[in-house]
Amino acid sequence: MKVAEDALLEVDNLRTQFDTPGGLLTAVDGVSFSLSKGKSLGVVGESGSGKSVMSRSIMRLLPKVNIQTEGTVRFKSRNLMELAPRDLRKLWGPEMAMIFQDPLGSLNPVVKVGKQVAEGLRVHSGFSKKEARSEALKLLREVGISEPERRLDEYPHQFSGGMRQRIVIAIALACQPDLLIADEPTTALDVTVQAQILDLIEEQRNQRNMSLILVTHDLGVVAGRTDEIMVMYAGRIVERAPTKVLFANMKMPYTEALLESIPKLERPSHSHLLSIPGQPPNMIDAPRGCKFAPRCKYVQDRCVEEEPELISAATPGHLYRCFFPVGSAESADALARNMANGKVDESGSRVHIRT
Amino acid sequence: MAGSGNLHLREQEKPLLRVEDLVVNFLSAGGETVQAVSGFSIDVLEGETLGLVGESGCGKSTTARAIIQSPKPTAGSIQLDGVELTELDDEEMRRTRPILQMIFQDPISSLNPRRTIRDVVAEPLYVWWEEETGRLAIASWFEKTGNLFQKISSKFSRPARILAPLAWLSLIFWLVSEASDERSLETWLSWLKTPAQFIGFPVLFILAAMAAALSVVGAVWLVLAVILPFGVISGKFGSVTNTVGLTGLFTSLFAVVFLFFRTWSSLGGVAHWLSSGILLLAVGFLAVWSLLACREPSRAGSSALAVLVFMLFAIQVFYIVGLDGNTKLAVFSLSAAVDGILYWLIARRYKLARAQMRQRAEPEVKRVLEAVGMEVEGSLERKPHEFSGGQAQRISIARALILNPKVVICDEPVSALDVSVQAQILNLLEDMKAAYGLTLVFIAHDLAVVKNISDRVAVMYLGKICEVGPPELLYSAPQHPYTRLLIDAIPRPDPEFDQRNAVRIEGELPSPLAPPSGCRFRTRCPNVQAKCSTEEPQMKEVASGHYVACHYPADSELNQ
Amino acid sequence: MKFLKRNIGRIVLTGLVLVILFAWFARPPFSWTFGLLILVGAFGALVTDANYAARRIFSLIPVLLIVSFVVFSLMSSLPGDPALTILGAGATAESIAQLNQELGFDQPFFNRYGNWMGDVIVGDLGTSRILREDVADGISRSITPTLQLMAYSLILAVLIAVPAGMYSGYKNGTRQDRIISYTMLGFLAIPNFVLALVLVLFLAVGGVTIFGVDIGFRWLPAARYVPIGAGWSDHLKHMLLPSLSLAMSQAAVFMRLLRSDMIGTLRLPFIDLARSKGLKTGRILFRHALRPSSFTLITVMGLSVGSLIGGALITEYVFTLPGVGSYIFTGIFKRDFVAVQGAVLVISTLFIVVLTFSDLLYLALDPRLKHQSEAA
Repeated sequence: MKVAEDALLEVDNLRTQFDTPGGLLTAVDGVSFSLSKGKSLGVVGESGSGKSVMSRSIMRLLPKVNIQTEGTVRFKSRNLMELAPRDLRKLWGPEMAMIFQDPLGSLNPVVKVGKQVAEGLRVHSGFSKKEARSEALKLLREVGISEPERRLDEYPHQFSGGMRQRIVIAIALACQPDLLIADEPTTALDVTVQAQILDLIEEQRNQRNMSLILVTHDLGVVAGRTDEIMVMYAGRIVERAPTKVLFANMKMPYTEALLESIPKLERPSHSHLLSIPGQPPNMIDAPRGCKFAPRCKYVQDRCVEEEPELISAATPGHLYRCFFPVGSAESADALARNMANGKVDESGSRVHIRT
Repeated sequence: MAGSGNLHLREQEKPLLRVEDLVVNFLSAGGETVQAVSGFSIDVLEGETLGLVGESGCGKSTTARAIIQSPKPTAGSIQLDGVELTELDDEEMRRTRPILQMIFQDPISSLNPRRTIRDVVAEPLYVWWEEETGRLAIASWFEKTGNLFQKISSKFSRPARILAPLAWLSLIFWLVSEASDERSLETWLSWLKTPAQFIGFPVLFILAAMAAALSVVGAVWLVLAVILPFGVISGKFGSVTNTVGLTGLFTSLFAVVFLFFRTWSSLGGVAHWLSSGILLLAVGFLAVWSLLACREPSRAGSSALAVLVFMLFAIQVFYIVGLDGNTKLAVFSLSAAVDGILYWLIARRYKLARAQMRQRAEPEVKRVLEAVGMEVEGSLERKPHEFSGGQAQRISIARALILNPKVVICDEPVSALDVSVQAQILNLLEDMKAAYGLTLVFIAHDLAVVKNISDRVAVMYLGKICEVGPPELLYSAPQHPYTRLLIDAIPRPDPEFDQRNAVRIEGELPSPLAPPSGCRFRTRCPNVQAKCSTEEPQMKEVASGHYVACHYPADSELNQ
Repeated sequence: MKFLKRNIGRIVLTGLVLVILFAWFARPPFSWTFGLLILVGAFGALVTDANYAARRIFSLIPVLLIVSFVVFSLMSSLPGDPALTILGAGATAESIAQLNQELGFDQPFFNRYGNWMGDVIVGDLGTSRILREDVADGISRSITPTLQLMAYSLILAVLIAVPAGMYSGYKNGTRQDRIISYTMLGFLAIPNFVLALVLVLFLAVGGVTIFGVDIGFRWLPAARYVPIGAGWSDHLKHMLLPSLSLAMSQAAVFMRLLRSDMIGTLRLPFIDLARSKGLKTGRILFRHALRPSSFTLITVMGLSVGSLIGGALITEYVFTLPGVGSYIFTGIFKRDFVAVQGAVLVISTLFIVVLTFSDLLYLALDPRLKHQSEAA
C-alpha cells in the first residue's frame, strides 16, 4: 500500500495471537494501515472484532506470556516491535499515550488523582514534585475540572464517571504525546457525558496537533469526528475510507449492518431494527471464506468458499473486502436470490441459522 | 423544568401501573438527606411501553427500584393493577413477584456466576414454589453459607489447609487427656531419634488428624446450626411443618441451656428428671419435624437435621469433657464420625431436593429459553460468564419471563451492549412484548434507544419529570430545553451533521443533597430567567398528551 | 451543640485517656486492662476518624463480657477439684470444705462470676493458691516471651511472604511461580510443632545419622529463653528457631493471598494505564499494585494472630520458653483454674484488640472505606 510521506504511524501486517487452552486464537490478523501526523482515525467493530487488542498491540502494551505479535509497527520510522522494554517505556507518555474504557478502573483507587497525573511528568520530564504538581493543576484545568486545587488531593471514587475520564485524559496528555489511542473512551458513560468527553478529546487534539486513534463500537461516535474510519471484523480490516466517503458510499455489508442497527431519531417508534444475527466467529477455528458470510444478508456460495481480498474502490483511499459490495448490481441480485431461497426474511434481515 | 404537578396523569383511563407523588430520600455519607426522587408521577396503561430517560444520577434507577419496593419509597403511592404496593409487607410484596419483574443493566454480573443457566432461569420458579407450599427460604441460607465456605476454601483448597488445624485439635485433646505427665523436649526428641519412630510419629499424627477431621466437619455444622435457626425464625410460621419445627427448635435450645447448667451445679432428683424429660421432648419434636419434612423433599428437612447435629454436638462436648483420659479420645473420635455421617446425610438430602426441583422446572426453562432465541441444548449446564453480553441479557430476559409477568421494568438493559447486540435485544423486547402481552417500563440514557421502543416517554432530571409525551412529538418538537440538549447529545451516524456545533449541556448534575431552588434545571439551562430560581414550574399541556414543566417552553411566546 | 455532636468521638477518647492516666498513678493494674484498648482507639482516631474509632472501641465491651463469661463458665465446668490439688492427698473432707469456702467455691455460679469480673475490671485477676503468686503478675511476666515470639513470627512471615507473593504474582504461571507456590504450600501442610521438631533436629542438635553419615548441623541453640536484657544477639539467636517454625505456615498463607490478589490487581486497567505512562516495572509493582492488593492480607494478618497465639502456645511448650503457653499448660496440669482463666481471658482480649486494630489499619489503607465510614 502507498505510504504517506509524513506518516507518524505505519502498521504493516500486524498479527496478534493468543495461546489459549482451546488452541491458537488469532485476535488481529494481518492489519496494515498508516496514520499521518495530526490526523484522526476511527476504528469501529463489535466486541471481539480485535479492535482493542490491535490498539494494545500497536502500543505493545500486551503481556508477553502466551501472546505472540508479528508484523511491524513503525512509529516515527522506528520499529516498535524491535525496541527493548526500556526504550518502549521512554515512548509511552511523551510519544504515545492511551485512554481506556473503564474510567473508574483506569485510576488507582488508593492514590490521589493529583499524584497520578503528576507521576508521568516526574518520570519523563524530570519535574520536581512542586513543578509536577503545578503542571498537573494546569492539566486538570485544561480538561475542564472545576476547583482543581482542591480536587488534586481527592481520590478517584470522589469523582463522577465523566470527571474520572477527564482525569484519565489529563494523565494521557501530561507528557504531550504525538499519538493518542482512545480505546472506547465513552462506552461506560452517559450520552450527555459522552458528547462532552468526545468534544474534549477533539479540542485537545486540535490544540496539540496530535494524531488520534479512536476505537469504538458505535459508528455514530466517529461519524462527524475522525478524518478516516476503519471497520474491523474478525481481526481484519474489512473497510477503510475517509469518513465522508464511507458514509456516502459504503461497500461492505458489515458496515451497512452496523449502521442499520443504530436506532435513529428520524425513524418512527417501534420500527424494526435490522440487527446482525448471531455472533462474531470463533477466532480459534475461523471459517474458511469471508468471515462475515454466516451473518451476511448478501451471502453467496462464493463467499463461503473463498476469502475476498482487500481491494480499492473507485474513490481514492477507499478499501473494502467483499465480492458483492453494497450498492452494486451484484449485491442486489444476491439479496434477491437470498430472499427467494429464504435466507433473508421480508424485512431484509438475515435469518439466523442455528448451528 | 424538573417541575411538579400531576396534570399528565390520565384520570379517565385505568392504568396498570400508577405512580403518584413518589418521593425517595436516603441518608448520605455525611448523614444528610439525598433527595433522589422528589414528586414523581406517571401512569402506564396495559400493553404500553413507558420510556424513562435521563442522565445517571437523575433518579431513574431509584424510581425503578422504588416501584419494586426495594427499598421502600419515602412517600407517595404506587398502584399495580389497583393494589397499593407501598402498603404491602415484605411477604405480600414477594407475592407480586410473578406479575412484576425487573431486568438489569449489567447482564453478566446480575446473574449468579456460580450457578448454571438452568438454575439461574428457574430460580424465580423455585422461590415461587416455596411460597406456594409454605416452605422455608432456608435454601438460600444454605447456598449463601455454602458459597461462603466455597469461597474461603477455594483460596486454601489443598487438603493441607484442612489437616493443619486438625492436627492442632488432635494434639490439644491428646495433651489434655495425657495431662498427668509432662514431657520435656528431650523426651520428644528421643522419640524421633530412632528411625522407626521418625516414620511412626507422622503416621500416628495423621491418624489422629483424620479422627479430628471428621470433628471439624462437626464444628462447621455447629456454626451452620447456629446460623440456620435465624433463617428458620425469619421464615414463615404458617405451615404445620414449621410450627412443629420451631417448637422443636426452641425446646432444644432450652434443653441445651438446661444441660449446661446441670454440669456445673449438680442438680439432683426432680431437676435431673426435668432436664432429661425436656431433652427427650425436644428430640421427639425434631423427629416429628424431620418426618413431616421427609414427606416432601424440602429444605425444611435439612434444617431440622442441622439443628439435630447442633444438639448432638453440644451434648458431645459436655459428655466428653466429663470423661477421663483414654476413653475421651475414643468417644471423641466416635462422635466425630457420627457428625460426619449426619453431615453427609444432610448434603444428600439437599441434593435430592434440588434435583427434584430441577426436574419439575425443566420444561418451563426450555420454553422461555427458546422464546428468547437461545440455544437450549448445551447451554443449560453452562455458567453465565461463558456467554457474551448479548446472550447473558437474553438469559436475564428469560428469567424475568418465566413467571409470565404483566409488568417488566428494564433498567438500562442495553446500555452495556454493543450497538449491533443492542438492536437484537431491542427487537427481542418488542417481540416478547407482543408474544406475552407485556407492559414495559424501559429506562435508558440514550433518547434514540428510548424513542424506538416506547409509546410514551418521560424525561427526568434530578428526581423530577421535565417533559412527558408521545415519542414522535417529543422528538420533533421538544419543549423542555433539557430534552433539546439530550437530543443534541446523541451521536449521529451522519458525517454531515456537525457534532462540534451541537448545543452541549454544561457542567455536572447538581448535588441531590441540596437541589437548586425553583426549577431544578436552572443552573445548567441555556435560557434561564429570574423567575426560574424563585418559582417551581408546574406541568402544563402544550399539545394533546404532551406535557412540560417549564416556565418558558420552546413553543411558547414567552420564550421569545 | 453541633461541635459536640461532630466531635463526640474525640471528646470521649480524650476523656478515656485521662481516666487511664489517672488510673496509672492511682492503681496501675487497672490501666493495663483498658490501656491497650485505648491505645488502639487513639491510633484509630489518628488514622481514621475519632467517631468511628470510639464506636469500635465501645462495641468491644459486650464482646469482652461474653468472652469472659464463656471462659469463666468453661473453667467452672471442668472436672477436678482445685482444693484437693492444693491440699494434696492427705486432705480431709472438712479441710476441703473449709478451703472451698475460703476460696469462694461454695458460692453460686453467678456470684463467683460477678466477684471475679469485678476484680478483673480493676486489673486484679486473682491469686493463684497453687503457684503462690498474683495471676496478673504471672501473666505479665510470662506474656513477654509470647509477645516476642508472636511479633518476630509475624515480622518474619511478612518478610518472607511479601517479596515471594509479589514475585510469584508478577511471574504468574511461570516455573518460578510454581516453585515458590509449591514450596510454600509444603510449609502450610506441616503443622508448626512438627516443623519445630524437624528444625531443631537438623539445625540445632545435629540431625540424624543414616548409615554412618551425619545429616544436620549444630548452628543454633535448641531451647531455652534468653531475655533481651542478656544481649540482643543472644536473644534473637534463641528466638530464631521458634519464630521460624511458627512463621512458615503463616508466611505461606500470606504469600498465597498476596499472590492471588496481586494477579487480580495486575489485570486491572489502572495497571495498564500506569504502564502506558511509561513507568518501570518495579515502580508499578510497589507504588501501584502492592497497596490495592494488600487489603485482604491485612485482614487475614489480623485474623492470623488467632492462630499465632495458638501456635505460640505449642511452640513455647516445644522450645520450653517461659511464656503464656507454658503458664496455661502448667495451670491445666495442676488444676489451677484461676491462673488458666486469667491467662485465657488475657489472650482472647489480646486477640480481639488485634482484630480491631487490623480493621482500623484496613480503613487507613483504603480511602474508599474511610469515606464510607464517615457516612455511617
